[in-house]
Amino acid sequence: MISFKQVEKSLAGKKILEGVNFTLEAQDKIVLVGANGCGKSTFCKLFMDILTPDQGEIIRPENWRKITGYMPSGGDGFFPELSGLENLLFYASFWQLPPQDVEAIIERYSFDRSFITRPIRVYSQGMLQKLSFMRATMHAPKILVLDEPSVFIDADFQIELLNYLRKFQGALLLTTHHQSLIDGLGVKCVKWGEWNAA
Amino acid sequence: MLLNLILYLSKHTLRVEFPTKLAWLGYFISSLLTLVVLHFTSMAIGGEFFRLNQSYFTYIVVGEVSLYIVSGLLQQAAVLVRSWHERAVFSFLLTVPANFYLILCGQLLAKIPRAMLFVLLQLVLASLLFDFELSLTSMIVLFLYPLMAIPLFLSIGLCIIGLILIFGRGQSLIFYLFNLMSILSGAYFPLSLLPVKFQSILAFNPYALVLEPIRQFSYHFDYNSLLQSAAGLLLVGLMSLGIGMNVIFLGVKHLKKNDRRFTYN
Repeated sequence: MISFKQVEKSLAGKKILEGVNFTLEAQDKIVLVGANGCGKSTFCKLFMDILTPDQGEIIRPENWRKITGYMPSGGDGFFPELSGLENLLFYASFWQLPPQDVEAIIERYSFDRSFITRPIRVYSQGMLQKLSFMRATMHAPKILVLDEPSVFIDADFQIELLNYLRKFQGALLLTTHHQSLIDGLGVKCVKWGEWNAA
Repeated sequence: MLLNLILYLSKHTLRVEFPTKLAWLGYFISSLLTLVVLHFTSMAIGGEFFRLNQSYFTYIVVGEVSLYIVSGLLQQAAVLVRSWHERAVFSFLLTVPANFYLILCGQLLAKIPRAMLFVLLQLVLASLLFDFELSLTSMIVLFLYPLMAIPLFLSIGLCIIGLILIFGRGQSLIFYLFNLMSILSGAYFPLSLLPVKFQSILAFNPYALVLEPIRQFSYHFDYNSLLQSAAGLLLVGLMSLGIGMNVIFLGVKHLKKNDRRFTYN
């Protein structure tokens, strides 16, 4: 589905990736683990076309944006002046999702109703993470890229996240430090740098 | 799609900025206070000071109101680049199945309906409560003519965003330039008071390109000249959009290569 061919990337003078070959196939579930600052988020950004490689190429299907859900680390990518609901509705419009679908996902994950209509600048990190996960999954993607999704979230939502990922039928690329999430998923785990394992 | 996006974002802007009736009342009071300040300033200075053929109050209100829509567009560009970058909205929008540049233009243009509302309110209040010596025709021109400058200012806005993305700084400098452009636009005093060489340079000030034809129309009611200026402004704007798109394209390319955070000064 999505392939890295001899990809190289440096940021701020530091070589992050060198000659990486990597392919994520339709039903692959890959968990990427590694030390802080090793480049996991950069890898996700390259995957999502937020960053371009210095060398090599990344091959994606033509309609990949329509079928991909992305959850950046730290709950990034929301308009601070809009409410959580408005943010979700705005992003839902890119996938032509009706407002009922957005309401349904808010209901499904029991997002705090007293907060959903308030500007997201008043949200906690955990709430942003939750909202970010809802945004990534509301259009039922076939490819899911989750960059440290279990950071800041409460125990109940950790279970929800695990349940979703267990049932998820598409291709998954996940970065995490949480061993419980890796164990719970029971999927292929790739240590940073050991690209042949992927 | 762009029109739908602008309408959608404009509604959001209005809802966010005016969530309650109290917010609308505050907006009304601040508009009124602005006019009161301008009224007393004009009484203190007086039109004779600048040898104007209309009251200084009328002169300065025409100046401020004419530039409100276009200056709002530029300020929106400078504010947006910071707010979007801090929350990584730029990056995230690159991952959605929509044209990134269209979304960006939509966001910039979304402030225009709010600015038009302000212009309308200022004109109504100035006419009803103060000694505003402008004919109805001139007021309509003042309301509509700045719309011809939207492509030009959209292009400048895109250049600002693109350059800040490339250099990772410059927001303070941009606001300083906005102020300078505004002061030297002819909004507050006639540019004819300045040395001749300086006047010819300032004729290219984008704000002056908007303001001067409105002023001239209010003095002479020359429709032909107004239409020629409007057509010229629109043409220059449409041509400059290519430059704006190229600069923002380079800015995004730079962002995708470096993933650098800003310093904003």
